[in-house]
Amino acid sequence: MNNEDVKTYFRESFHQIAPEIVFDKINLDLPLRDQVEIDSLDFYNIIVSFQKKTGIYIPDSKLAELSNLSELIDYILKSQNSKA
Amino acid sequence: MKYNLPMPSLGADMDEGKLMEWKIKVGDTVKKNQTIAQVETTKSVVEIESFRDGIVMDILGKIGDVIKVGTPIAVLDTKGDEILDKTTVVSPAPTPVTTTLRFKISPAAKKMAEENHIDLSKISGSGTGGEITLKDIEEKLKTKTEKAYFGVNLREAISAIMAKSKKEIPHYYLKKRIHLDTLMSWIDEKNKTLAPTERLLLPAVLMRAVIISLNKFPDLNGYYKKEKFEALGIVNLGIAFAIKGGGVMVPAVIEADKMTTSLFNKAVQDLAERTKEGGLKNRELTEGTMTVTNVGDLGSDEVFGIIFPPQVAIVGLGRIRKEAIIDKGDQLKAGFVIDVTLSADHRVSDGLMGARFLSEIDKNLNDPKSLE
Amino acid sequence: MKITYREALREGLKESLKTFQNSFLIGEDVGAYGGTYAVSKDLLNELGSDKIIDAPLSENGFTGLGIGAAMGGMKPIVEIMTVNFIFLALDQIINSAALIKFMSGNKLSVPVVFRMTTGGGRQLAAQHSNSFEGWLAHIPGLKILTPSCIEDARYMLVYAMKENNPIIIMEHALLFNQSGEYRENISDFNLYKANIVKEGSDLTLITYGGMLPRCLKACEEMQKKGKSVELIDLRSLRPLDSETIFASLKKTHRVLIVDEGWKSGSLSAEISARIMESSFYDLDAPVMRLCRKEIPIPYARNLENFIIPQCEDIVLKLEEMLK
Repeated sequence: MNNEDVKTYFRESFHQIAPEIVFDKINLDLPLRDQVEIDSLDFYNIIVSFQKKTGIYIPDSKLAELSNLSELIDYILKSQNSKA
Repeated sequence: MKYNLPMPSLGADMDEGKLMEWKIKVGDTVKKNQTIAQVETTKSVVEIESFRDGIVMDILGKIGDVIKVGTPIAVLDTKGDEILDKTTVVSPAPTPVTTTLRFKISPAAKKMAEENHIDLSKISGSGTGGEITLKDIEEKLKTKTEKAYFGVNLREAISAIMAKSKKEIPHYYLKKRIHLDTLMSWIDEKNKTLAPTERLLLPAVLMRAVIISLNKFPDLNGYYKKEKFEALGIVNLGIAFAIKGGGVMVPAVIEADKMTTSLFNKAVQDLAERTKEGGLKNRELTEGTMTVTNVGDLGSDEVFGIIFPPQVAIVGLGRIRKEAIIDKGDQLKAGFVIDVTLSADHRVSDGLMGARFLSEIDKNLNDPKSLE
Repeated sequence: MKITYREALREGLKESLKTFQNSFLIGEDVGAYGGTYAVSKDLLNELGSDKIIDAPLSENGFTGLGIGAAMGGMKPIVEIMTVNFIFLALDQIINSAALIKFMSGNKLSVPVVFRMTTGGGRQLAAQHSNSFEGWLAHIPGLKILTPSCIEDARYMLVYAMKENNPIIIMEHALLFNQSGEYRENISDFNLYKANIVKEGSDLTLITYGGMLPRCLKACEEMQKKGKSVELIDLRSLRPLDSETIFASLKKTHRVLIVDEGWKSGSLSAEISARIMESSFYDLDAPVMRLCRKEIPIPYARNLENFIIPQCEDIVLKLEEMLK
C-alpha cells in the first residue's frame, strides 16, 4: 500500500462518515479539527471504517500522539512496511 | 376509567410544546412509557411517552398545535383506575392553544424564514404596508449568530439555562492531572483484539470511570430542587455534545451505571447519532443526573463546566496528550496525561469530597480492570 | 452601422424577398406608394411587381390570398397597414392561418408572415390607437413577435421567413424613427428568447415593443437614484419566454410589468399569473402592472398621454415599489 492508497481509503471513509467534509480540501499537514467541524466520535468512526476496509489497526495511543493526517498516513505506511 | 393524558413538561423552562407527530391512533392499546407522540419544545424535538397503560379513546391535539403543558392531548381508558380519574376531574382542563397567527409577509420572505427557522412574531415588517420582506429576514439572520436546532433557537435556550446556573449555583472548581500510560496500553491491547465495530471509544472509557467513581459519591449525583438536595440511586450520565453550526446539547445515557463497558460504549455512540439526527427521548433530555463535558475533543487541555441545573456536578475531560512526567524513580519521561476537572455545587458538597472523587477517578483509570 | 428602425425593417424585408424565391409582399399601398410607413419604399422598382403586390382596400381578401398562397407553397409577407384593421381579416387569420394545421391533421401548413404597425401615442384616437399584441397572443397556432430594437427590426422578419407556421410581427409606430446599431453577422439570433436589455438586482421590469425605450429611460433614472432595475424585453409574446422571467425574479424578487395594452384579460395578466404559478416563493412584493387605462384612447394629446404609461409614470411606480 502506498501513500495514495491510504489516502483513497481515508477519502472513502470520510465520505461515509462525514459527507459534508471534502477530503481533498483538507490540508493534511495541519491539525484536522482546526479545519473541519468533526467531533471525536465521528473521527473514531472514520478510523473504524478505515480499519474495516484495510484491516489496519491504529491504536488509541498513536491517535492521541499524532497531530495531523500526514503523520497518521506516515505511521500507517511505516507500520505496514515493518510488517512486510 | 377515563384518563386525560396531559402535555408533559419536558424541562423547567417549558411552557408549551408543538405536536409534530402522533405515534398512536384511537383504539390502540398503549403501555406505560410507550412512545406516543413527537413534540417540539424550545429545546428540541423529543418523543413523549404515555404515563399509563390503557386504550386510546380520543386524540385531542392536532399535528401542528402548540399546546400548553398540562393540557390534555389524548384520552385513555385505563380500566378501573378510579383514583387517577378523580385527580383529572379536579383539575379543569384548559383548552388547547392553537397557532392561528397569520403574518403579513411576502412569499419569498416567508420561505426564507421557514428555511432558517425564524420566529416571525419577533420581526416587525419594513414593507410599505408593514409587511415583512426579504430585507427584514436577512437582517434578522445577520443578528442570529447561532443556528437553530430542529426549529429551536438553541442559543436562547443555552443562554437561559447557563445564566440561571451561574446566578444560582455556588460553583467550586477542582482539577487533577491523571497519568494515562496504563490506560492507553490497556485500551491499545483491548481494541487490538476487538472487531472494528466493537472498538471501545476512549472518551466512553473515561466516562465509564466517572460513572463507577460516582457510586461512592452520591452527593455529586442528583438534583437540587426547592432548597433541598435529593441523591439519586441511578446514574443517568449527561454528555455535552457540540452541535454543528453552534450550540451544545446535553442528552443523557439513562441508567449508565447498570451498563457494562461494552454496552455503555454502544449507548454513547447511539446517543451521539440521535443528537445529530433527531429522535432523542424526553427522559434523555430531562433526567440526566450528572454531566460530563469532553472538551479535549476540541483541543483544549482543560475545561471547567457550568453545572446543568437541577444537577449538582459536572466533570470536564481535557485533551489527552504527552507531557513531561516524573516516574516513581524520580526520572523525567514523556507520558500520557489528562486534566480531569470537577465543577460542583457548594450547597451540596465540599472541596474535600470533590478532591476525593477526582482521586477515585484517577484510581479507576489506573486500574483498567475495574473498567472491564 | 447606425440606421433607423424603418431602414432596418426595409433591409430585412429586402433580404427576405431576395433570399426566399417564392416570397412576395402584398398589402395596401406597399408598391407605388412605398408603404404607409415607407418600409417598402423603392422596392417595387428594385424587385418588380412579382415581388411587390399592391392590394385593394380588402383586408379579408388579400389576407386570405396570402394564406392560400402559403398553403400552396409560396412564402408570402402580408402587410396589414395597422393592427386596427386586422379585425376585418380575423376569420382568415384565426380559422385559416392559425388553426388549419390542426384541422387538416398536420397535412397543411401556412408559412405566412403578417406585418403590421401597432400602438397609440400619435393622436389617432380610439379606433386607430389599439394595442392588440397580447390579444393576438391569446391564440394557439400563432406566434407573435414584437421587434423593439434595431437588430430585431433588421432580422426578425428574415428569421421568421424560415419558419413553417404563421407568424405576426407587430411594429410599434413610435419606434420607426429610432436609430441605432445592429450587428452585421449574427449566429446566436433566437426569435423566441427574451432579452435582458439591462441587468439589475432590485426589481425586474418586464416590457416589450413600443414601451421599451421609455422603460429603459426610466431604468436609467432609477440608476441615478441608486436603484438597480433589470429590464427584460420579451421580444416574443407567444411563445412567452417564462424561464428568463423566472430566473430574473430569483435574483430581484420584485416585478413590474409595463404593457401598452389594457389590463383586463391581458398579456400582463398572463405574465403575472405565470409568476404566481411558478415563482410565488421568489416574490418579495406583489407583482405590479402599469398598463393603458381601461378606456378607449382619447384624441387630445394630454389625455392620450394620461392614458398610456409615460416614462414619468414608470419612474413613479418604480419609486413606489423600491421605497
